Amino acid sequence: MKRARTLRRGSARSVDLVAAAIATVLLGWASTADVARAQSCGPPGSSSSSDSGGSDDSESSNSGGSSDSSDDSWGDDSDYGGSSSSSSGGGSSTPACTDRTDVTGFEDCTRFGREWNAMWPALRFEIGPSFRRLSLSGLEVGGTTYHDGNPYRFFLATDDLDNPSALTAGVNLRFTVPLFDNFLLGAEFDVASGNPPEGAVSDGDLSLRITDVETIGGGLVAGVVSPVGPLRFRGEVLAGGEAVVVTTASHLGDCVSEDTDVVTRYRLEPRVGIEFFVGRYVSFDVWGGVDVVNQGSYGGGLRINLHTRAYDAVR
Amino acid sequence: MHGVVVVRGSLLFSVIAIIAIGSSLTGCGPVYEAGSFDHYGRVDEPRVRALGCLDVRMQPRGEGEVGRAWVAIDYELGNRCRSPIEVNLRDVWVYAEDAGGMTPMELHDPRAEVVPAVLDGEGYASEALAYVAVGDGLRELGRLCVDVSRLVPDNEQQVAPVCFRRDGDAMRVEVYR
Repeated sequence: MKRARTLRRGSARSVDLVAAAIATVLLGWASTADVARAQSCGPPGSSSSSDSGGSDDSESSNSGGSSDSSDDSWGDDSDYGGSSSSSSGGGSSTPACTDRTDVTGFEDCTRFGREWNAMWPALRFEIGPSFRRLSLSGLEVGGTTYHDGNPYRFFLATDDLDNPSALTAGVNLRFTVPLFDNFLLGAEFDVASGNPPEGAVSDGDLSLRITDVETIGGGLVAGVVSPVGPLRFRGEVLAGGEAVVVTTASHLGDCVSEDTDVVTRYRLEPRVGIEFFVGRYVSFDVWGGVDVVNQGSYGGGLRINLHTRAYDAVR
Repeated sequence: MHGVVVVRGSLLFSVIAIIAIGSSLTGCGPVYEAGSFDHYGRVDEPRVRALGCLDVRMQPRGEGEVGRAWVAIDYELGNRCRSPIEVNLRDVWVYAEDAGGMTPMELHDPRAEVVPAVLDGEGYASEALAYVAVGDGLRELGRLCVDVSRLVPDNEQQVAPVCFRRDGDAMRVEVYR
Protein backbone atom coordinates (compact mmCIF):
# COMPACT_ATOMS: atom_id res chain seq x y z
CA MET A 1 0.00 0.00 0.00
CA LYS A 2 2.87 2.34 0.47
CA ARG A 3 3.49 2.49 -3.19
CA ALA A 4 -0.10 3.28 -3.84
CA ARG A 5 0.12 6.19 -1.51
CA THR A 6 3.32 7.32 -3.07
CA LEU A 7 1.66 7.33 -6.44
CA ARG A 8 -1.10 9.47 -5.09
CA ARG A 9 1.42 11.96 -3.96
CA GLY A 10 2.83 11.91 -7.40
CA SER A 11 -0.54 12.59 -8.86
CA ALA A 12 -0.86 15.59 -6.63
CA ARG A 13 1.70 17.21 -8.83
CA SER A 14 -0.86 17.22 -11.55
CA VAL A 15 -3.29 19.25 -9.55
CA ASP A 16 -3.78 22.46 -11.33
CA LEU A 17 -5.24 25.63 -9.99
CA VAL A 18 -8.75 24.64 -10.86
CA ALA A 19 -8.40 21.33 -9.14
CA ALA A 20 -6.81 23.02 -6.16
CA ALA A 21 -9.72 25.40 -5.87
CA ILE A 22 -12.16 22.54 -6.18
CA ALA A 23 -10.23 20.57 -3.61
CA THR A 24 -10.29 23.51 -1.24
CA VAL A 25 -14.02 23.80 -1.59
CA LEU A 26 -14.47 20.07 -1.19
CA LEU A 27 -12.27 19.97 1.88
CA GLY A 28 -14.26 22.75 3.43
CA TRP A 29 -17.42 20.93 2.54
CA ALA A 30 -16.13 17.63 3.75
CA SER A 31 -15.15 19.08 7.10
CA THR A 32 -18.74 19.96 7.72
CA ALA A 33 -20.15 16.69 6.43
CA ASP A 34 -22.30 14.79 8.86
CA VAL A 35 -21.95 11.21 9.90
CA ALA A 36 -24.79 10.07 7.70
CA ARG A 37 -22.94 11.28 4.64
CA ALA A 38 -19.78 9.50 5.64
CA GLN A 39 -21.66 6.29 6.18
CA SER A 40 -23.24 6.60 2.81
CA CYS A 41 -19.80 6.41 1.26
CA GLY A 42 -19.19 2.90 2.44
CA PRO A 43 -20.15 -0.04 0.26
CA PRO A 44 -23.17 -2.14 1.12
CA GLY A 45 -22.32 -4.11 4.18
CA SER A 46 -19.12 -2.20 4.68
CA SER A 47 -17.21 -2.95 7.77
CA SER A 48 -17.27 -1.02 10.95
CA SER A 49 -14.48 0.89 12.55
CA SER A 50 -12.74 -2.32 13.52
CA ASP A 51 -12.46 -3.21 9.86
CA SER A 52 -11.03 0.14 9.07
CA GLY A 53 -8.48 -0.46 11.68
CA GLY A 54 -7.58 -3.68 10.06
CA SER A 55 -7.06 -1.92 6.81
CA ASP A 56 -4.81 0.56 8.42
CA ASP A 57 -2.83 -2.17 10.02
CA SER A 58 -2.42 -3.81 6.69
CA GLU A 59 -1.17 -0.62 5.19
CA SER A 60 1.19 -0.07 8.05
CA SER A 61 2.64 -3.51 7.80
CA ASN A 62 3.23 -3.08 4.11
CA SER A 63 4.59 0.38 4.34
CA GLY A 64 7.94 -0.94 5.26
CA GLY A 65 8.35 -2.60 1.93
CA SER A 66 10.71 -1.59 -0.72
CA SER A 67 9.79 1.52 -2.61
CA ASP A 68 11.22 -0.03 -5.71
CA SER A 69 8.03 -1.29 -7.15
CA SER A 70 9.74 -3.78 -9.38
CA ASP A 71 9.91 -6.01 -6.36
CA ASP A 72 6.34 -5.72 -5.27
CA SER A 73 4.89 -8.73 -3.63
CA TRP A 74 2.04 -10.57 -5.22
CA GLY A 75 -0.13 -11.54 -2.35
CA ASP A 76 -3.37 -12.98 -3.60
CA ASP A 77 -4.87 -14.47 -0.52
CA SER A 78 -6.22 -11.41 1.18
CA ASP A 79 -9.80 -10.91 0.29
CA TYR A 80 -11.08 -7.50 1.08
CA GLY A 81 -12.36 -5.78 -1.94
CA GLY A 82 -14.37 -2.67 -1.63
CA SER A 83 -13.98 0.32 0.50
CA SER A 84 -15.29 1.76 3.66
CA SER A 85 -15.63 5.08 5.29
CA SER A 86 -13.29 6.18 7.98
CA SER A 87 -16.08 6.45 10.46
CA SER A 88 -14.81 6.23 13.98
CA GLY A 89 -18.22 5.52 15.32
CA GLY A 90 -18.20 8.55 17.54
CA GLY A 91 -20.94 11.07 17.24
CA SER A 92 -18.72 14.02 17.88
CA SER A 93 -16.32 13.57 14.98
CA THR A 94 -16.99 14.64 11.44
CA PRO A 95 -15.41 11.95 9.28
CA ALA A 96 -14.93 12.53 5.60
CA CYS A 97 -15.53 10.02 2.90
CA THR A 98 -12.38 8.06 2.34
CA ASP A 99 -11.75 5.01 0.24
CA ARG A 100 -9.77 2.10 1.55
CA THR A 101 -8.38 1.54 -1.90
CA ASP A 102 -7.80 3.70 -4.91
CA VAL A 103 -8.48 0.93 -7.40
CA THR A 104 -11.16 1.91 -9.87
CA GLY A 105 -14.30 -0.10 -9.38
CA PHE A 106 -13.68 -0.45 -5.66
CA GLU A 107 -13.83 3.24 -4.87
CA ASP A 108 -16.90 5.01 -3.62
CA CYS A 109 -15.61 8.49 -3.01
CA THR A 110 -13.79 9.13 -6.24
CA ARG A 111 -14.32 8.39 -9.87
CA PHE A 112 -12.03 7.33 -12.65
CA GLY A 113 -10.21 10.27 -14.18
CA ARG A 114 -11.64 12.83 -11.82
CA GLU A 115 -8.26 14.42 -11.25
CA TRP A 116 -7.03 14.55 -14.76
CA ASN A 117 -9.66 13.83 -17.40
CA ALA A 118 -9.93 17.20 -19.12
CA MET A 119 -13.48 17.22 -20.44
CA TRP A 120 -14.27 20.85 -19.69
CA PRO A 121 -14.22 23.46 -22.47
CA ALA A 122 -11.29 25.68 -23.26
CA LEU A 123 -11.94 29.24 -22.14
CA ARG A 124 -9.68 32.20 -21.65
CA PHE A 125 -9.95 35.13 -19.30
CA GLU A 126 -7.65 37.95 -20.22
CA ILE A 127 -6.86 41.18 -18.42
CA GLY A 128 -4.17 43.81 -18.60
CA PRO A 129 -3.28 47.43 -19.06
CA SER A 130 -3.91 49.11 -22.38
CA PHE A 131 -2.58 52.31 -23.84
CA ARG A 132 -4.02 54.25 -26.68
CA ARG A 133 -3.67 57.33 -28.76
CA LEU A 134 -7.28 58.34 -29.10
CA SER A 135 -8.27 60.47 -32.03
CA LEU A 136 -10.89 63.05 -31.15
CA SER A 137 -11.13 64.35 -34.67
CA GLY A 138 -14.65 64.96 -35.84
CA LEU A 139 -16.17 65.16 -32.40
CA GLU A 140 -18.52 68.00 -31.61
CA VAL A 141 -19.56 68.84 -28.09
CA GLY A 142 -21.74 71.64 -26.89
CA GLY A 143 -24.71 72.66 -24.84
CA THR A 144 -25.60 75.23 -22.30
CA THR A 145 -23.32 76.32 -19.51
CA TYR A 146 -23.82 78.87 -16.77
CA HIS A 147 -21.64 81.67 -15.58
CA ASP A 148 -22.81 83.82 -12.68
CA GLY A 149 -26.23 82.33 -13.15
CA ASN A 150 -26.51 83.33 -16.75
CA PRO A 151 -26.90 80.66 -19.46
CA TYR A 152 -24.44 80.53 -22.33
CA ARG A 153 -24.68 78.21 -25.27
CA PHE A 154 -21.35 76.83 -26.41
CA PHE A 155 -20.07 74.63 -29.21
CA LEU A 156 -16.68 73.02 -29.56
CA ALA A 157 -15.54 71.20 -32.66
CA THR A 158 -12.45 69.22 -31.75
CA ASP A 159 -11.01 69.77 -35.20
CA ASP A 160 -10.49 73.37 -34.15
CA LEU A 161 -7.89 72.19 -31.66
CA ASP A 162 -4.26 72.07 -32.71
CA ASN A 163 -3.97 68.39 -31.93
CA PRO A 164 -7.37 66.74 -31.44
CA SER A 165 -6.14 63.59 -29.74
CA ALA A 166 -5.62 62.19 -26.28
CA LEU A 167 -3.31 59.64 -24.76
CA THR A 168 -5.25 57.22 -22.62
CA ALA A 169 -4.41 54.36 -20.32
CA GLY A 170 -6.77 51.89 -18.82
CA VAL A 171 -7.74 48.30 -18.32
CA ASN A 172 -8.66 45.85 -21.02
CA LEU A 173 -10.39 42.60 -20.20
CA ARG A 174 -12.07 39.95 -22.25
CA PHE A 175 -13.31 36.39 -22.44
CA THR A 176 -12.36 34.37 -25.46
CA VAL A 177 -12.95 30.85 -26.68
CA PRO A 178 -10.40 29.01 -28.80
CA LEU A 179 -12.07 27.39 -31.76
CA PHE A 180 -10.80 24.68 -34.09
CA ASP A 181 -7.23 25.07 -32.82
CA ASN A 182 -6.48 28.15 -34.92
CA PHE A 183 -9.34 30.55 -34.29
CA LEU A 184 -10.69 32.51 -31.39
CA LEU A 185 -13.91 34.30 -30.65
CA GLY A 186 -14.79 36.44 -27.70
CA ALA A 187 -16.07 39.60 -26.13
CA GLU A 188 -13.97 42.49 -24.94
CA PHE A 189 -14.42 45.44 -22.64
CA ASP A 190 -12.14 48.29 -21.72
CA VAL A 191 -12.15 51.51 -19.77
CA ALA A 192 -9.53 54.20 -20.07
CA SER A 193 -8.79 57.75 -19.18
CA GLY A 194 -6.09 60.10 -20.21
CA ASN A 195 -4.52 63.41 -20.89
CA PRO A 196 -6.79 65.84 -22.75
CA PRO A 197 -5.63 67.67 -25.84
CA GLU A 198 -3.92 70.93 -25.25
CA GLY A 199 -5.15 74.24 -26.55
CA ALA A 200 -8.30 76.28 -26.33
CA VAL A 201 -10.85 77.66 -28.75
CA SER A 202 -13.01 80.73 -28.45
CA ASP A 203 -16.76 80.71 -28.82
CA GLY A 204 -18.00 84.24 -28.44
CA ASP A 205 -17.07 85.45 -24.98
CA LEU A 206 -16.24 81.93 -23.85
CA SER A 207 -12.87 80.28 -23.93
CA LEU A 208 -13.31 76.51 -24.24
CA ARG A 209 -10.80 73.86 -23.22
CA ILE A 210 -11.13 70.08 -22.95
CA THR A 211 -10.05 69.05 -19.46
CA ASP A 212 -10.75 65.34 -19.35
CA VAL A 213 -11.25 62.44 -21.76
CA GLU A 214 -12.45 59.00 -20.78
CA THR A 215 -13.57 56.07 -22.87
CA ILE A 216 -15.67 53.01 -22.25
CA GLY A 217 -15.66 50.55 -25.07
CA GLY A 218 -16.14 46.98 -26.09
CA GLY A 219 -17.22 44.62 -28.76
CA LEU A 220 -16.74 41.24 -30.28
CA VAL A 221 -13.36 39.98 -31.27
CA ALA A 222 -12.49 37.26 -33.76
CA GLY A 223 -9.11 36.13 -34.89
CA VAL A 224 -6.72 33.51 -36.11
CA VAL A 225 -3.86 32.03 -34.17
CA SER A 226 -0.70 30.52 -35.54
CA PRO A 227 1.79 28.78 -33.26
CA VAL A 228 5.43 29.26 -34.14
CA GLY A 229 7.67 27.45 -31.71
CA PRO A 230 6.85 28.53 -28.18
CA LEU A 231 5.04 31.64 -29.41
CA ARG A 232 1.58 32.14 -30.82
CA PHE A 233 1.07 34.86 -33.33
CA ARG A 234 -2.40 36.24 -33.51
CA GLY A 235 -4.31 38.36 -35.94
CA GLU A 236 -7.73 39.56 -34.93
CA VAL A 237 -10.37 42.19 -35.44
CA LEU A 238 -12.35 43.99 -32.78
CA ALA A 239 -15.73 45.20 -33.94
CA GLY A 240 -17.73 47.25 -31.50
CA GLY A 241 -18.14 50.72 -30.22
CA GLU A 242 -17.03 53.16 -27.63
CA ALA A 243 -18.36 56.03 -25.64
CA VAL A 244 -16.03 58.99 -25.41
CA VAL A 245 -16.71 61.09 -22.35
CA VAL A 246 -15.41 64.63 -22.89
CA THR A 247 -15.33 67.20 -20.12
CA THR A 248 -15.17 70.77 -21.38
CA ALA A 249 -14.30 73.78 -19.26
CA SER A 250 -15.63 77.12 -20.34
CA HIS A 251 -13.94 80.25 -19.09
CA LEU A 252 -15.64 83.58 -18.83
CA GLY A 253 -13.34 85.95 -17.04
CA ASP A 254 -12.48 84.32 -13.74
CA CYS A 255 -15.55 82.12 -13.85
CA VAL A 256 -14.95 78.51 -14.88
CA SER A 257 -17.73 76.05 -15.56
CA GLU A 258 -17.45 72.42 -16.65
CA ASP A 259 -19.81 70.36 -18.78
CA THR A 260 -19.60 66.70 -19.75
CA ASP A 261 -20.66 65.28 -23.09
CA VAL A 262 -20.80 61.67 -24.19
CA VAL A 263 -20.14 60.86 -27.81
CA THR A 264 -20.63 57.33 -29.08
CA ARG A 265 -19.03 55.94 -32.17
CA TYR A 266 -18.18 52.66 -33.83
CA ARG A 267 -14.83 51.04 -33.56
CA LEU A 268 -13.21 48.56 -35.92
CA GLU A 269 -9.72 47.65 -34.96
CA PRO A 270 -7.48 45.10 -36.69
CA ARG A 271 -4.77 43.91 -34.36
CA VAL A 272 -1.77 41.69 -34.10
CA GLY A 273 -0.43 40.04 -31.01
CA ILE A 274 2.16 37.64 -29.72
CA GLU A 275 1.39 35.26 -26.90
CA PHE A 276 3.71 33.11 -24.86
CA PHE A 277 2.89 30.65 -22.12
CA VAL A 278 4.59 30.85 -18.76
CA GLY A 279 2.74 27.85 -17.38
CA ARG A 280 0.22 25.30 -18.54
CA TYR A 281 -2.65 27.60 -17.70
CA VAL A 282 -1.09 31.05 -17.85
CA SER A 283 0.17 33.11 -20.73
CA PHE A 284 1.09 36.67 -21.46
CA ASP A 285 0.59 38.52 -24.67
CA VAL A 286 1.40 41.87 -26.15
CA TRP A 287 -0.83 43.35 -28.77
CA GLY A 288 -1.34 46.40 -30.89
CA GLY A 289 -3.95 47.64 -33.31
CA VAL A 290 -5.22 50.51 -35.39
CA ASP A 291 -8.78 51.79 -35.42
CA VAL A 292 -9.76 52.07 -39.06
CA VAL A 293 -13.05 53.84 -38.35
CA ASN A 294 -11.62 56.60 -36.20
CA GLN A 295 -8.49 57.26 -38.13
CA GLY A 296 -5.60 58.34 -36.00
CA SER A 297 -6.57 56.08 -33.12
CA TYR A 298 -4.21 53.27 -32.33
CA GLY A 299 -3.06 51.46 -29.27
CA GLY A 300 -1.77 48.36 -27.61
CA GLY A 301 -1.23 46.67 -24.35
CA LEU A 302 -0.17 43.71 -22.30
CA ARG A 303 -2.41 40.99 -20.97
CA ILE A 304 -2.23 38.09 -18.62
CA ASN A 305 -4.35 35.23 -19.84
CA LEU A 306 -5.80 32.51 -17.65
CA HIS A 307 -6.77 29.29 -19.41
CA THR A 308 -9.15 26.58 -18.31
CA ARG A 309 -7.32 24.01 -20.43
CA ALA A 310 -3.59 23.53 -20.69
CA TYR A 311 -2.32 25.43 -23.70
CA ASP A 312 -5.93 25.92 -24.77
CA ALA A 313 -6.06 22.24 -25.67
CA VAL A 314 -4.79 23.09 -29.12
CA ARG A 315 -3.87 19.99 -31.04
CA MET B 1 -9.03 64.93 -11.89
CA HIS B 2 -11.04 61.81 -11.42
CA GLY B 3 -9.74 60.61 -14.73
CA VAL B 4 -6.23 60.56 -13.36
CA VAL B 5 -7.45 58.57 -10.41
CA VAL B 6 -9.08 56.09 -12.73
CA VAL B 7 -5.89 55.72 -14.71
CA ARG B 8 -3.74 55.24 -11.66
CA GLY B 9 -6.18 52.82 -10.13
CA SER B 10 -6.47 50.87 -13.32
CA LEU B 11 -2.75 50.60 -13.75
CA LEU B 12 -2.22 49.64 -10.15
CA PHE B 13 -4.90 46.99 -10.43
CA SER B 14 -3.40 45.61 -13.57
CA VAL B 15 0.11 45.46 -12.17
CA ILE B 16 -1.07 43.77 -9.00
CA ALA B 17 -3.15 41.29 -10.97
CA ILE B 18 -0.27 40.46 -13.25
CA ILE B 19 2.25 40.03 -10.47
CA ALA B 20 -0.02 38.15 -8.09
CA ILE B 21 -1.73 35.86 -10.52
CA GLY B 22 1.32 35.38 -12.64
CA SER B 23 3.62 34.50 -9.80
CA SER B 24 1.15 32.13 -8.22
CA LEU B 25 0.22 30.31 -11.37
CA THR B 26 3.61 30.00 -12.92
CA GLY B 27 4.52 28.03 -9.82
CA CYS B 28 2.26 25.24 -11.03
CA GLY B 29 4.62 24.71 -13.92
CA PRO B 30 4.65 21.71 -16.20
CA VAL B 31 3.33 18.71 -14.38
CA TYR B 32 4.97 15.98 -16.36
CA GLU B 33 8.50 16.27 -17.55
CA ALA B 34 9.66 13.96 -20.25
CA GLY B 35 11.73 11.14 -18.88
CA SER B 36 10.71 11.57 -15.28
CA PHE B 37 9.27 8.06 -15.24
CA ASP B 38 12.74 6.75 -15.84
CA HIS B 39 13.94 7.96 -12.48
CA TYR B 40 11.97 5.56 -10.38
CA GLY B 41 14.64 3.01 -10.13
CA ARG B 42 16.86 2.87 -13.09
CA VAL B 43 17.66 4.88 -16.14
CA ASP B 44 16.52 2.21 -18.54
CA GLU B 45 13.05 1.79 -17.07
CA PRO B 46 11.55 -1.38 -18.51
CA ARG B 47 8.09 -0.60 -17.23
CA VAL B 48 7.72 2.46 -19.42
CA ARG B 49 6.36 2.52 -22.93
CA ALA B 50 6.13 5.54 -25.20
CA LEU B 51 3.19 6.01 -27.54
CA GLY B 52 3.81 9.17 -29.46
CA CYS B 53 3.64 11.97 -26.91
CA LEU B 54 2.39 9.66 -24.18
CA ASP B 55 4.62 7.89 -21.70
CA VAL B 56 3.03 5.01 -19.85
CA ARG B 57 4.40 3.34 -16.79
CA MET B 58 2.72 0.29 -15.34
CA GLN B 59 3.21 -1.91 -12.34
CA PRO B 60 1.10 -4.70 -10.86
CA ARG B 61 0.10 -4.03 -7.33
CA GLY B 62 0.57 -6.66 -4.72
CA GLU B 63 -0.96 -7.51 -1.40
CA GLY B 64 -4.17 -8.80 -2.88
CA GLU B 65 -5.72 -5.43 -2.36
CA VAL B 66 -8.76 -6.09 -4.46
CA GLY B 67 -9.27 -9.67 -3.56
CA ARG B 68 -8.31 -13.15 -4.44
CA ALA B 69 -7.54 -13.96 -8.03
CA TRP B 70 -7.65 -10.32 -8.96
CA VAL B 71 -4.85 -8.26 -10.34
CA ALA B 72 -4.56 -4.55 -9.73
CA ILE B 73 -2.27 -2.60 -12.01
CA ASP B 74 -1.06 0.93 -11.42
CA TYR B 75 -0.84 3.04 -14.52
CA GLU B 76 0.95 6.35 -14.73
CA LEU B 77 0.47 8.48 -17.80
CA GLY B 78 2.58 11.46 -18.78
CA ASN B 79 2.03 13.73 -21.74
CA ARG B 80 5.30 14.99 -23.14
CA CYS B 81 3.63 17.41 -25.55
CA ARG B 82 1.51 20.51 -25.24
CA SER B 83 -1.33 18.95 -27.17
CA PRO B 84 -3.98 16.95 -25.36
CA ILE B 85 -4.04 13.21 -25.88
CA GLU B 86 -7.05 10.95 -25.89
CA VAL B 87 -6.43 7.74 -24.01
CA ASN B 88 -8.60 4.72 -23.49
CA LEU B 89 -7.43 2.49 -20.68
CA ARG B 90 -10.20 0.08 -21.54
CA ASP B 91 -8.20 -0.91 -24.60
CA VAL B 92 -5.16 -2.07 -22.67
CA TRP B 93 -4.71 -5.79 -23.13
CA VAL B 94 -3.70 -7.70 -20.03
CA TYR B 95 -3.05 -11.40 -20.01
CA ALA B 96 -1.57 -13.88 -17.62
CA GLU B 97 0.28 -17.08 -18.08
CA ASP B 98 -0.13 -19.98 -15.74
CA ALA B 99 0.37 -23.66 -15.92
CA GLY B 100 -2.57 -24.01 -18.25
CA GLY B 101 -1.40 -21.45 -20.76
CA MET B 102 -2.33 -17.86 -21.51
CA THR B 103 -5.35 -16.43 -19.72
CA PRO B 104 -6.89 -13.12 -20.79
CA MET B 105 -7.66 -10.73 -17.95
CA GLU B 106 -10.87 -8.75 -18.02
CA LEU B 107 -11.14 -5.23 -16.71
CA HIS B 108 -13.27 -4.96 -13.60
CA ASP B 109 -15.41 -1.89 -14.16
CA PRO B 110 -18.82 -2.43 -12.59
CA ARG B 111 -19.86 1.20 -12.94
CA ALA B 112 -18.53 1.62 -16.46
CA GLU B 113 -16.24 4.39 -15.29
CA VAL B 114 -13.33 3.60 -17.55
CA VAL B 115 -14.12 5.56 -20.65
CA PRO B 116 -12.01 7.38 -23.23
CA ALA B 117 -10.44 10.33 -21.46
CA VAL B 118 -8.29 13.31 -22.33
CA LEU B 119 -4.93 14.05 -20.79
CA ASP B 120 -4.06 17.68 -21.31
CA GLY B 121 -0.72 18.96 -22.50
CA GLU B 122 2.16 18.12 -20.17
CA GLY B 123 -0.35 16.48 -17.90
CA TYR B 124 0.17 13.62 -15.52
CA ALA B 125 -2.33 10.98 -14.49
CA SER B 126 -2.34 7.92 -12.35
CA GLU B 127 -5.00 5.26 -12.13
CA ALA B 128 -5.22 1.80 -10.66
CA LEU B 129 -7.35 -0.72 -12.51
CA ALA B 130 -8.38 -4.17 -11.45
CA TYR B 131 -8.49 -7.23 -13.68
CA VAL B 132 -10.01 -10.60 -13.18
CA ALA B 133 -9.12 -13.73 -15.03
CA VAL B 134 -11.57 -14.86 -17.64
CA GLY B 135 -12.93 -18.32 -17.09
CA ASP B 136 -11.91 -20.40 -14.11
CA GLY B 137 -9.50 -17.85 -12.76
CA LEU B 138 -5.82 -17.94 -12.12
CA ARG B 139 -3.83 -20.75 -10.66
CA GLU B 140 -0.13 -20.63 -10.20
CA LEU B 141 0.30 -17.32 -11.90
CA GLY B 142 3.75 -17.19 -13.28
CA ARG B 143 3.73 -14.30 -15.71
CA LEU B 144 1.62 -11.24 -16.35
CA CYS B 145 1.86 -9.05 -19.45
CA VAL B 146 0.40 -5.65 -20.23
CA ASP B 147 0.11 -4.48 -23.81
CA VAL B 148 -0.63 -0.76 -24.15
CA SER B 149 -0.33 -0.53 -27.91
CA ARG B 150 -3.99 0.44 -28.26
CA LEU B 151 -4.07 2.81 -25.32
CA VAL B 152 -3.98 5.83 -27.62
CA PRO B 153 -6.66 5.44 -30.29
CA ASP B 154 -4.79 7.57 -32.80
CA ASN B 155 -1.56 5.69 -32.34
CA GLU B 156 -0.57 3.16 -34.96
CA GLN B 157 2.69 2.31 -33.30
CA GLN B 158 2.99 -1.21 -31.93
CA VAL B 159 4.97 -1.46 -28.72
CA ALA B 160 6.17 -4.51 -26.92
CA PRO B 161 4.16 -5.62 -23.91
CA VAL B 162 5.59 -5.15 -20.45
CA CYS B 163 5.77 -8.49 -18.70
CA PHE B 164 6.23 -9.37 -15.08
CA ARG B 165 7.11 -12.75 -13.69
CA ARG B 166 6.59 -14.13 -10.28
CA ASP B 167 9.70 -14.57 -8.21
CA GLY B 168 8.66 -15.98 -4.89
CA ASP B 169 6.31 -13.46 -3.36
CA ALA B 170 7.48 -10.67 -5.61
CA MET B 171 6.66 -9.66 -9.15
CA ARG B 172 9.67 -8.58 -11.10
CA VAL B 173 9.54 -6.92 -14.44
CA GLU B 174 11.14 -8.68 -17.31
CA VAL B 175 13.56 -6.57 -19.23
CA TYR B 176 11.91 -6.93 -22.55
CA ARG B 177 11.78 -3.83 -24.64
